[in-house]
Amino acid sequence: MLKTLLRKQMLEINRGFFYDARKGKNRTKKGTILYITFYVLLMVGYLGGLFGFLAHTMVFAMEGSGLGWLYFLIMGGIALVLGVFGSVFSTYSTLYMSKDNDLLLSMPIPIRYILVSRLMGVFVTGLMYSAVVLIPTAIMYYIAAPFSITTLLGPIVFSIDVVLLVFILSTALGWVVAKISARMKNKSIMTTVIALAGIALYYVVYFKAFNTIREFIANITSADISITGAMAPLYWIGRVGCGAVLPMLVVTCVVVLILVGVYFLLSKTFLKIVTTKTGASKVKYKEGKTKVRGTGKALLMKELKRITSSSTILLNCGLGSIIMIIGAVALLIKGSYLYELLTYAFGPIHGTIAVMTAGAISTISSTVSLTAFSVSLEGKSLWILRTMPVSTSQILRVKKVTDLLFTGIPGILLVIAAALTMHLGAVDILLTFVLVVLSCVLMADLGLFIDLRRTNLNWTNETALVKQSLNVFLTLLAGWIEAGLIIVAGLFLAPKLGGTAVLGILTAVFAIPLVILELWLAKKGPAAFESL
Amino acid sequence: MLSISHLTKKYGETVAVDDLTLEIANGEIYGFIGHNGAGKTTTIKAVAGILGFDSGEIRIGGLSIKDNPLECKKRMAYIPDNPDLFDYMSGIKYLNFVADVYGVSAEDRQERIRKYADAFELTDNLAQPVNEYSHGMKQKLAIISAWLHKPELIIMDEPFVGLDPKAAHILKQMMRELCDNGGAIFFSTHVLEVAEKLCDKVAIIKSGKLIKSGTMEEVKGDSSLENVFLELEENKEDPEV
Repeated sequence: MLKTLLRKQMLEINRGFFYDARKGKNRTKKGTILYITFYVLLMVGYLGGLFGFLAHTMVFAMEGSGLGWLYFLIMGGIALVLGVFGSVFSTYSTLYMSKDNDLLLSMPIPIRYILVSRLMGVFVTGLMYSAVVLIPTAIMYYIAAPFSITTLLGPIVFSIDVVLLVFILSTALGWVVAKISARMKNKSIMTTVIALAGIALYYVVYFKAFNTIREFIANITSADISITGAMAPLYWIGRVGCGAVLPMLVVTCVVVLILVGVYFLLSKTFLKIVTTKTGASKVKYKEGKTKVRGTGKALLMKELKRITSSSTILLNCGLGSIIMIIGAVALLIKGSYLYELLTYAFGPIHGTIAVMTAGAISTISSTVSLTAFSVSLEGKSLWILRTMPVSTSQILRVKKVTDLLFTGIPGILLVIAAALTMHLGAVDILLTFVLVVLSCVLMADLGLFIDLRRTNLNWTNETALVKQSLNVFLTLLAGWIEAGLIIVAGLFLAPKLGGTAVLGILTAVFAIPLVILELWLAKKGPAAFESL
Repeated sequence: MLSISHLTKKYGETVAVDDLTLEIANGEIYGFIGHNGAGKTTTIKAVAGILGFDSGEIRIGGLSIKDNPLECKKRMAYIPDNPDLFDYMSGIKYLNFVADVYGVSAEDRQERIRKYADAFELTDNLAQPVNEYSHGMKQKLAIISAWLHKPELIIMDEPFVGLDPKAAHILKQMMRELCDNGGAIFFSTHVLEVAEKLCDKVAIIKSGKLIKSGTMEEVKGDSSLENVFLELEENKEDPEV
């Protein structure tokens, strides 16, 4: 029974590999293999390559000087950040908000089986993200360290401990969110705030640990120095990776104990949380003044309501917008200092700053990608839009506008802040503005294009759409490539050609895919939507 | 009001609706019956403008759904068999959204919401999120939203499923009132007693083909609709009865 549930959960997470939502049928075996290979190559080739390179730059020197434990500590820290960051935003909805909760609870299935299958979803998501760091870390260590049974076992045990820690942190935070938001009226906003507070706390702890490590490295004179105080537990954790037997046993035992405690907590509360519909008191309707809106505004408000009603969407996509707004404010406050620092370090770099500003905004805004699932998100209520007297092009346009509200406006605010503090010329400001807007529209178009080509209306958990879908992954990847191109051009071309010329070239280059996508969305987009 | 002529819809090689022709005039409640998978929902979705079709024509008030989809949709309303509404809105927000899209004035929507929500005893729940509604409450909300812009034609797929007896009675009254005021209703149902009592005309579909249609008297004669339906269903060798 548990096996069946786990298979169902895995199928839900990985449905895209086996089922072609656009054609409405299962992929062929060949197609599935090709698809998985493509995905693995992207994950391993891009992210794995990136972290493999990082591991390669550290492992030989550190292992050679007896600081292998520090190597594991740093790489483990990165894996922990990536794993928690990757899974925590969807934990609450994965654990407690699945649409098939009632169905499963009505079946003769032990509650613990349902919980374990849900936990497996959280575990696999965290594993996927942390593995892209942990696998290269282990491989590089095997290459650098002399072979022995303990050095063989160490990275494996260390990886298991880190993956379990990611799982513990994510599920514990998911549980806190569930408990606190149970009696809140506006659950999505509260969930978002609590999760963000949790993340902030987590990062404070993380950076404090990082500072401790940095101070330790700055004061290090010999690998044989005694390690005490705050460094001691970190040292023990790092030693697990090197295959030290006692730390392996102690750290693993501690992790397993915490895991058992968290599982106990979850198992005691799971049923109550899942079956508590709302803790908010019932609001009795009182007729008030009616606001009449036009069709466009009504559709826009509907899209905004959909986004703000989901903590999963807010946490996964809204974070980029918040970072951009905070960035703009920070730039207004500390921009002059930053400008002086940059010019002191690199000389006159006005042009580069303009290009890099565009690159930074593109990097952050690409994480928003609301259009990459906005059509799929309609799910079974798609009939409402399809039967209303609204043109399909207007529906698609509103979805794009909604995305741009979350990317374009914060992006423009950042450009304004940069213009006020970074001493940019008028032409550079204008071109940066154009490039940023163009970049945001391009990503919105691309997301919409991908979602129209690969629509999935039969989801049971929106996390699968917002976080785990190939649509979002492809849009994110394209965004990173685009932002990477801007940053590379800023670093290498701008000093030679000047920022203005580079901004102009980039605008012209990105205008080409934009025009192609705009034409496709105008000509074939409505038909694609209507065929759903 | 609604004219379906030679409608054919295929899913790959499977013919879901085969050369179906029907005429629904103003003032008529038209029942559409058939076994599961007969092609009722496909026909209804094609009329509602959700599904495209391979050949034939659907006209609403003389306008082709293919050529003038928006004008046709303005004149009609559709209620699916399973009302998956916008769960993230409250009932009143959903109704206001529908009213905004159809351009219903503030006065008209207030009056209609008050009238129908009171009739269905849903008024107190309108501030609650739709995801807290029962199936029946969602069905009531879908019905209110369909009546909100005073459509000339209402298309419904199994509208009585999930409704309590009182709500079903109110819906029947609303259907009759709309048709008495010149509107038309085309709906599918498996509840043959309801169809027999409520409908002016009825059509029976089997394997995508229309096998009998006409006024209730023409279709059932001296027998009951249930008997006629079962007889037609049993006659598998020759669907062209």
